[in-house]
Amino acid sequence: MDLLNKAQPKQVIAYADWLAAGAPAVAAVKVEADVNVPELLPLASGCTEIQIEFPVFADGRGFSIARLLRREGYTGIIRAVGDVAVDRVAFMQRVGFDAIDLKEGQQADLIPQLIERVQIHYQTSSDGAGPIYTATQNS
Amino acid sequence: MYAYSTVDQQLVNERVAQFRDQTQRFLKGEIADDEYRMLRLMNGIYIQRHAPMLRVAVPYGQMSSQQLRALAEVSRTYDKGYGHFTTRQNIQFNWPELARIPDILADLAQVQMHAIQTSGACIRSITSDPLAGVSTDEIADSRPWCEIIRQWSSLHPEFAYLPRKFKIAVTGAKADRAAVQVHDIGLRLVHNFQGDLGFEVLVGGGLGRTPMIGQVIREFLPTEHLLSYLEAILRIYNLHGRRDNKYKARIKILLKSMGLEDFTQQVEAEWQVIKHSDLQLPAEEIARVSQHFGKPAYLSLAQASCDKVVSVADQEYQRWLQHNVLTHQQPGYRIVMVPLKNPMSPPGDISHQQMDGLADLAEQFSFGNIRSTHDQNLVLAHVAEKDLYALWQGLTELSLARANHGTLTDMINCPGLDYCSLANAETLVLSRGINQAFDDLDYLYDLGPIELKISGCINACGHHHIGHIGILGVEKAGQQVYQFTLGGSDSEAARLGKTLGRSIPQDQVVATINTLLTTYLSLRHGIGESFSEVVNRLGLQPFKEAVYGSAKQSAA
Ligand code: SF4
Repeated sequence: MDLLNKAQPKQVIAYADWLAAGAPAVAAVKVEADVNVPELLPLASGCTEIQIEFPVFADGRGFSIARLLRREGYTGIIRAVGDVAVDRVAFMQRVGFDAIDLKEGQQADLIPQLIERVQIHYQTSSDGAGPIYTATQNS
Repeated sequence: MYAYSTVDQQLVNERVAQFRDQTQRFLKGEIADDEYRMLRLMNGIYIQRHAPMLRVAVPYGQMSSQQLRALAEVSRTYDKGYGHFTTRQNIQFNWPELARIPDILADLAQVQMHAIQTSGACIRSITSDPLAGVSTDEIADSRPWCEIIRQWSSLHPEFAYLPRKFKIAVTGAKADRAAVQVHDIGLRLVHNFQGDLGFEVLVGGGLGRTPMIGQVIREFLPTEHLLSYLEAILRIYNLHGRRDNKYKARIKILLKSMGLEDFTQQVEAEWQVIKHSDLQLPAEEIARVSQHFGKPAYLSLAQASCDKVVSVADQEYQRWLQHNVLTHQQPGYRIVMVPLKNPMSPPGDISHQQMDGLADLAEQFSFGNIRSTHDQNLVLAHVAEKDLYALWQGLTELSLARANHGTLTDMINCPGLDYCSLANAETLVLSRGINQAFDDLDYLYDLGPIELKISGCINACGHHHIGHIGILGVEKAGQQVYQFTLGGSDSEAARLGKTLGRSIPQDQVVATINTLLTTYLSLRHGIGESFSEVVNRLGLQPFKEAVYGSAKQSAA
């Protein structure tokens, strides 16, 4: 379960502070769900890890932020933090998260089976799966 | 009709297993209430006033006889023997037990049905013109595009937690029978000046608390770019739609606050990036899906038509022919409207016997195809003229031949207080009263086409804003009262109705409708001028005077 075992960064800087410091190369930057995405994208490659905050589990902005980071070519770690539960991990992984900090009280051991449960993906996303019509299986 | 590939079937099966697991963990206390709420909603389950409610998708209103029988079976086995067709072409069961819903879904999966995204803050099941492929005003068949959107939107990993529900409707005809102008995204198939097929794209329509008509953000979108354009709109909405206030979270509010120009420019900029990605639909995929919607094996005109059948001298039958039967693209064939507007039950309700009986009739007379409409009726879309009389007899036996299509009593009515936990008003009491008061078909025919739409609260599931006569239930000081709007329309150029005046108490609603109708009759320029045309010509004033004047007199 790589998702849970990515080593925690030594230091995490809030996005605003990082910007104020001139966006230096750092270990990890934490962005909120309302981050200015066009501003973030060109700067992202300067950090090893980007943490995206989920203020409440129903707030889905983080999914698009991760997707856009990957599309922009960001290859560092994208970590989901905040109100993160096992039932969203499969979608998180698809859009480009590769590290997850679960909130308290979650059954981490369920994650592999929850990811496995739905294997058919109709859409393209950051996981490299093309849309279903590009796969050979759909005949 | 679209038939699942092995992949489509696998996805639906996997979704059933996933939901079963989520429900079991919830019942064991392993998923918190608020989280499970989101998870069940995106699979069509509400917890309502009396019990859970399960909303099953009827994708773009298309069903087979086999599927309708399966729905009948579900209503018998797990519910109270009936179902309720909604204004978004889906079907609801009002009394299932939560623990058994996974079994219902497993049963439905066997006939290629599901409840995926029939509710929740996600891309909802796609709606369309119930007369797709058969209407005489068709530009192109909308169904292949609906299916392509259904697949793209199903379990989309990025758009499952949107600010609010997101509704998409598609039409391929000139008349708007899918209410595309009051959807978050409305798509109209059009030809450009070169004769190529594409979509006119409308965004930001919707009813509810802040009713708005959708605005055109792109006049022509080539069909192969359908998914990239939708994805661009959804991405902008997901990132920027308001999350702090659920009443301001729909895309219509975002469009308004950003302004049409700015919004469109952001969508177009995002689209430019993804337009030529693998979201661009390959011609083979369009062809693969389209082949599922070919014409059925129609008989020749000589075999299908029969003058004798059309001229059977039975008054009831002739009325039905005139009002419930429409012309068809195919010579010798007709479209038959099957109203679900029984005076004694809520609009849209259908019993399990009726479902089974109708499934049989469809198999016998309509290539096993049944459609649901956004005004809560059903349609048999391919009936040979020679079969009309036999079909009418069959429908009459099932009490499904009431010849009131398009009249006042063919009304839309949300379930209201009887079923919905949000309701302010007993809308069903109203529909019963209206049916009793206006049961003379000749009078209804004389009144001409009138769309009466009733909602039990501001959420506007009954689409009251776009009714020629709209009625909205509101609560004032503990009393159920009703606000009337006039002049709405869901035709080619949709319009929102205007408020008539102060709210009307429940016991005066029928009398008020009657006043509106007699006022109309006295003002119209002959039978050719419809109710909504008179309202357009004269405005609300004469109706206001008639209603509030007469209310004063009756109080005195
Ligand atoms: S309009 Fe209101 S009362 Fe009627 S179904 Fe919708 S939410 Fe319920």
